[in-house]
Amino acid sequence: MLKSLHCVVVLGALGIAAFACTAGSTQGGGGLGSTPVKQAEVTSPTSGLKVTATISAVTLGEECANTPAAGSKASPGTAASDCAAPPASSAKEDAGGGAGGFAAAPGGCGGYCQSSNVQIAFTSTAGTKGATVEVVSVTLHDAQTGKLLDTLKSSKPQEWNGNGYAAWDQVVPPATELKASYDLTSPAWSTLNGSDSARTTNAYGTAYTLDVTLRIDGVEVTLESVAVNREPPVAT
Amino acid sequence: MSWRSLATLLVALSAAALAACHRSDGASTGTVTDASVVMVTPVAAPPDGAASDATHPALRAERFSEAGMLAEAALYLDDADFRRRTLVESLVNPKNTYSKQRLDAYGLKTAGWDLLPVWNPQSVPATSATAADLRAHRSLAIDPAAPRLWDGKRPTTMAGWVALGRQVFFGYPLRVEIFVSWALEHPDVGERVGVRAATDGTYPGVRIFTDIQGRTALGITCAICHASIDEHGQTTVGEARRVFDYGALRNAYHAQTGVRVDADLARRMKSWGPGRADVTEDDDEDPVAIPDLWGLRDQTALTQAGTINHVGPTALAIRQETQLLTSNHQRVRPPRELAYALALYVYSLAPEPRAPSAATSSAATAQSARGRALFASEGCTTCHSNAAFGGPPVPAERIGTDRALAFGGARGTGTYRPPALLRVADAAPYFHQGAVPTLEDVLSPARLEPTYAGSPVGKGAVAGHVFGTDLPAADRAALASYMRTL
Repeated sequence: MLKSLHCVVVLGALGIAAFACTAGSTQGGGGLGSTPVKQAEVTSPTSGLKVTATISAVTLGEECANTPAAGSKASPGTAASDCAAPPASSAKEDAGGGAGGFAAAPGGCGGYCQSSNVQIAFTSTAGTKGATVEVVSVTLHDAQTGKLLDTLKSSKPQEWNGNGYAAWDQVVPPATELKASYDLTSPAWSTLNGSDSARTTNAYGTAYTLDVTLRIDGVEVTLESVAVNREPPVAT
Repeated sequence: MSWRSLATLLVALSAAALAACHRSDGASTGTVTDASVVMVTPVAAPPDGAASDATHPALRAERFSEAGMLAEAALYLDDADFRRRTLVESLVNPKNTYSKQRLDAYGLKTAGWDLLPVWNPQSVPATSATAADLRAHRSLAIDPAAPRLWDGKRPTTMAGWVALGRQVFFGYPLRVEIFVSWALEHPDVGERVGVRAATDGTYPGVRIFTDIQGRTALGITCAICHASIDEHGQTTVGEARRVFDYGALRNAYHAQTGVRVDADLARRMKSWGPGRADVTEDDDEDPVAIPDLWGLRDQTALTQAGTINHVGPTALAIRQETQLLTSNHQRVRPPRELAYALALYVYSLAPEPRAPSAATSSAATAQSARGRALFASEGCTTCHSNAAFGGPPVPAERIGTDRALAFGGARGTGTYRPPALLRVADAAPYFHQGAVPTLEDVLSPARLEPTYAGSPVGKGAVAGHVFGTDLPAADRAALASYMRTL
């Protein structure tokens, strides 16, 4: 059964938020402020526009290096034959947002590396002015315990234009169904679950949830993903 | 037949099937033997323990008839509740990762994957000219005016669906695949790992396409694994590409570029060998042999581990739809018409008829005839029971082969599905993990001994599927002879 918790955020004239949460098909406690919900509905305090936001999918990719690959050797179909020898250390590097899945590979020598990202679907009611969206935070949790495991950074907001993802100004226009995507820094797989190797802690078989806190026209809501797994090396 | 009449028929047949099932006392709700694996009966019972009505032979036959498949298209495409119901009904073990991922995200209408954008890509075959461009470090390009893979018109005939499905099979990119780019750029690597051009100059399973970032890239499609290609460039669609060594390709890329790869992943990929890959969503080491696609319509389960109860064409369409979605990193989903078309195309695949061999001696004919009789009398047909010589899943402990896949957390059900034996003579190495090199070794007791050295996956006994190994040598030879005629 679909478990969708809808939070309706209504801001009064004094900027004091009152929250009325209703459960979709599941009765549950109401969320306040940052209480994660599967689907949020925000009423803009400035325009009255109602905006819903839902995480449609999450990809938890590899640990990619910091250098964006756009225009670099990481472009598909391009050789990377003059890369330097791989570094000996397997320690986690600072992960950076790649170019839509083409982040630089571990070691930074320009190979392919599947980055992490989150897809968010927005809808809005009719109105005269769009709502501005901002990602406040992204956190990774153990799906079973809820334990906070990592904090990820978002970058590269994009929207679907019918053919592909293109740069997005993070404004949800009125009367719109908008499919958005953000790149995320990679979870620290090599250090998650303690200092042990991720493999021995069954990183691929472990379920995670992602909490994404958005600020929509100044109103903060936190979306929670369904349980997701790290993408396997051969995704089929 | 309209879908309404099919629905009426479904209701009628469901009632009959339910009554028949309730008369049987063979149903089992299963026992949990592992944290994530439910032991199930060969024909899986639904989660609530009620008898399944969808696997009744008459009902199943109706759904897989041409009229039934055409009628079910509208249900799958237009009725989200039907999709969701079919998903739930078809997942044998709701606790494994494959099932949980789909139960959490598929067919929810206002949440999950239904909210992803629909992607209908531009895609053209990669050719020898593409390989030359890569070797010369020229950028790949695709004509911006090139048509989308699908013209947006829903087929209305079986021929139309199958033709569209062929387009998907060869043309819908599973993802950008820099490793295959490497193979085309380096012909020695490509030849070594089975990424070859066909006689028409195209590379089956490799496409130039505009990815979802608007960039031109090479991608792989279903055909990279499920269209064989011999050393002369002859292609057989539906036959596993057993020379395709994906692990070796990836390792070659990493070794030659210096792009770092996790050492354990490299070790695992090296262990796969030609025609095998580990595609499960876990850390288990359970690579499987790429299967032929023959006789899939007759199989009541999908995947070697019987992960999906093949209740109707929608079950396979959902499998294809979600595979195209997850392979593209869950950022887009395919038009459902393409997933359904792919399912019907896969059902249409069949091996070429065997050419009559003038050299076949009467003695050999007699031997295979005796083998056919043994195949029945020795009980082979108990499991290999359907028209394609496959059958419903069997408890893995009864088969006794490597347990990892059947009991794995990713796709495990506690069972293995007897494979279709059509063209089994061409399907070596055998077993789900590709561990036995010949039909003779499948039937040989020597294969069960610790001194066995014939397996492509390593020295030592290859356990399980002992059926036939206790027969006299002449009988085993007769069985092998018969299987070569299938």
